[in-house]
Amino acid sequence: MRRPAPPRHPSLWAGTLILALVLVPAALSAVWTPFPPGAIDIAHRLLSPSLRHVLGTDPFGRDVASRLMVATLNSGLVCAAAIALGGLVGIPLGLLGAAPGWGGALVMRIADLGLAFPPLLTAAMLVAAEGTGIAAEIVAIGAFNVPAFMRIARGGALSVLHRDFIAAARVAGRGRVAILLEHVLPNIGAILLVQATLALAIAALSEAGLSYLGLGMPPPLPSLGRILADDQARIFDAPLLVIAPGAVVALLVLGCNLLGDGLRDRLDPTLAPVR
Amino acid sequence: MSVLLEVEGLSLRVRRGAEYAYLLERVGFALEVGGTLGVVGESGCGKSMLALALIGLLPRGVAASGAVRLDGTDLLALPERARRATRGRRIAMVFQEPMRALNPTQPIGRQVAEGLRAQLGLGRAEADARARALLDRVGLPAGVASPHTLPHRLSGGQRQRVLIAIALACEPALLIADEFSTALDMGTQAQVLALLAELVAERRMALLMITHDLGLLAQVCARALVLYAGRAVEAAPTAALFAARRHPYTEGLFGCSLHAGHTAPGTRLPTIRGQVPPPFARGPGCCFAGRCGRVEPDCLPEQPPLHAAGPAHRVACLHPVVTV
Amino acid sequence: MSTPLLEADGLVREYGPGRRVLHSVGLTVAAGETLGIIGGSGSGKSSLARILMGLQRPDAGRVRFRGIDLYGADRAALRAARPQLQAVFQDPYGSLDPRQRVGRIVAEPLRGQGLDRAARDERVRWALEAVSLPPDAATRHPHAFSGGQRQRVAIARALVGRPALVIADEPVSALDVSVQAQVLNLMLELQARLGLAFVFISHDLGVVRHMAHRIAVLEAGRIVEAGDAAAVLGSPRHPATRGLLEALPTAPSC
Repeated sequence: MRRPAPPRHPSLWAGTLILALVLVPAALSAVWTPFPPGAIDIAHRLLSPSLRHVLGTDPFGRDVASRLMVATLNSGLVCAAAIALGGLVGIPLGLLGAAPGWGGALVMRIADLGLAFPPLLTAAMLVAAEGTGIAAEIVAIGAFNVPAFMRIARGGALSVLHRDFIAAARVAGRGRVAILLEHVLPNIGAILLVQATLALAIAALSEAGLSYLGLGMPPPLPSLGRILADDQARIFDAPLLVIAPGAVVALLVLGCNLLGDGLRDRLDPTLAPVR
Repeated sequence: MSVLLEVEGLSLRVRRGAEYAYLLERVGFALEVGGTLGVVGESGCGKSMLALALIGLLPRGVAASGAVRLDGTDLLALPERARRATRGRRIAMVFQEPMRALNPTQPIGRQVAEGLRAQLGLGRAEADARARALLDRVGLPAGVASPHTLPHRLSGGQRQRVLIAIALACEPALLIADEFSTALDMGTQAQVLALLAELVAERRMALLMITHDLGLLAQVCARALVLYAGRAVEAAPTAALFAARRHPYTEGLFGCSLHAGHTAPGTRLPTIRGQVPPPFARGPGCCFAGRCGRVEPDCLPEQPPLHAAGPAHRVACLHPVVTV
Repeated sequence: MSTPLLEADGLVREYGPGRRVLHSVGLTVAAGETLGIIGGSGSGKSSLARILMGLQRPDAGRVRFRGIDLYGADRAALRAARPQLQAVFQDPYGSLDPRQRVGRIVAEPLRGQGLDRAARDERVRWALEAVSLPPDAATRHPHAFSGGQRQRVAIARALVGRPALVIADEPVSALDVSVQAQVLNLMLELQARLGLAFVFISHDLGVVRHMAHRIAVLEAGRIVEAGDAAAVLGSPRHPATRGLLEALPTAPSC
């Protein structure tokens, strides 16, 4: 069996580059920011971009770039935690759903029900029920990722389960759990990774939406959505205040989507759309 | 007899970094109108690549050189549009796996008619009528399967018959069968092959059959071409080949075949040691030298050329097998 | 011979009402012998293979390996006997987990058998050697091997638990003739050396004729003819057997 030359993956590189552009400064903010992100300096409010303040200052004289760095980190951590939660709950349930019989079917019908709700609405409902807070927001965003992970895990598991090496493992006397953990999970790892990356894009958007609505992480923690909400009135006199956080959200979503597509092409060419 | 297909110095080259390797190296043969040629060899010898090169469906990154002349026109020199017009119309191909080669969502009648409409420009009614006649001819009359049947309703042998109908639809001059029918059990395989042989004879089509099964070769093909590691190592009329193999590789293949040889049950089968060298690991000398029991020092510096070894029998070996 | 190694009787398998693929199939395999099961597509041979391997509970009938019911209630006895009943599959690309190294694949039947790591490694080395693969094969992934070598890995996996019986479902039909001969030689050699019994299921009469001591002809879910290989092929009585023999391609007489 001969393979043609491996195709290039421009979207993989573009995605990595865009995400690095946004996430490296965000990670850096954990140890260093140009200015303390919460430092109020009314004397220097609403400054235009300069070498000192690359993105200018906000109505309280806080450095916009510093605040964005921290906000991106906060939002990113919340999203990552939410995806982890979605995966940790959704993947085992999805594998359970691949089991033959009515049990698996029931699990999947519940997942369908979950998918029927619009994500942001689900999240808003959950936050309304549990009150705001970081944990609530993580649960809210994670919750609507559970059914998505379930479906992907189940679909992947079903296609792996009918292959001969599963039959061989059964002939070898291995139990169900061992087969799921040692054979099925590693073989669907690639598609789960792709799913996680694509889900991250939606999570970033949801996080921004929730904190914009005031349902996200509580003040004074800066988050992308909150900065947008706080400064939206300034769109005409200081447009950068609104454009910058918006651009960061857009870049996060774009980067995740490109990376996810690229990973899919790279890891599993059979999943790629036909060109 | 007039020559239909003439392949001359056909090479297929792939690149990896700065290195080049040949999947096929200066392969040549001719096939006359209504002739049958079997191409044999292990996997990795370039048999399927040869088929793809003839029909013009080479994967990206494989560069072809040499000439593939069909009725005197060099297909390799044609632009893609003109090439597409020969595909199905002049050269057709049946594939190994009938499950994958058929569209599972389309009724078989429509799949047979598709080529008629696309290549011959027939109207729907006329194409449908011809499709029905073709399905009849390949042994799928209305009682067995209607043109509205979907492929999954058919058995493996029946699907293979549909593929034959599709390939024959435009009455091509050359039919290529790549490991055709090897997915079928032997009873069905024999029936489908008999049908294929009959149709080829009836319509004066030329048949190029790629196979690793020497039994099939003997049944269907008048001439044989043995490919090894991308090179033609022996070419002869099938009967001559069965009477006497000259190339040690051909001899080895015959030795391990349960259909060509006469080995006593339960005894050790002769084998060819080692395996086909991959394209990037082929040396300058005879490509079989590493596995050959008759290798001599003069096999190593350069490739032995094909030379005559009998009437219409050519072999590329400096120390051919001699049977007395 | 007292009790046969494997004993199946009254096996029925159906996919829904009216779609019965096996009608009361029975067979026995004695220690050290090869039973060849020959049948065309749709004869039910794949379903039979899965039932004999212990992968698919039959709708009726019983399979006993060394007197233990493969689908019975005594799970502990079955687990203890499992390594001795092994299988080799048709597709050497599908039967090895692409994500695992060969050493781990081969060791799989030993998992849960109470062997320590060193003892397992020792057995894996022995099994790889038995199928003529180099010991460093254990550290590589299946994609580094050719089809024939993969089938050797699959056979090593079947051997590692010192089986008494290996069910081989079309073990060579995906291989080139030259490789096919190597794998068949290997199976014959292992049988002579280790006293293995095989159930050799194939559509290829040439291969079955070469391997089997006894032959059963499966046709439309029933065994229509069975007996000594030479007798069945020498003087076939059932039309299905005669049909198979006629379809066998033969060399033109020289």
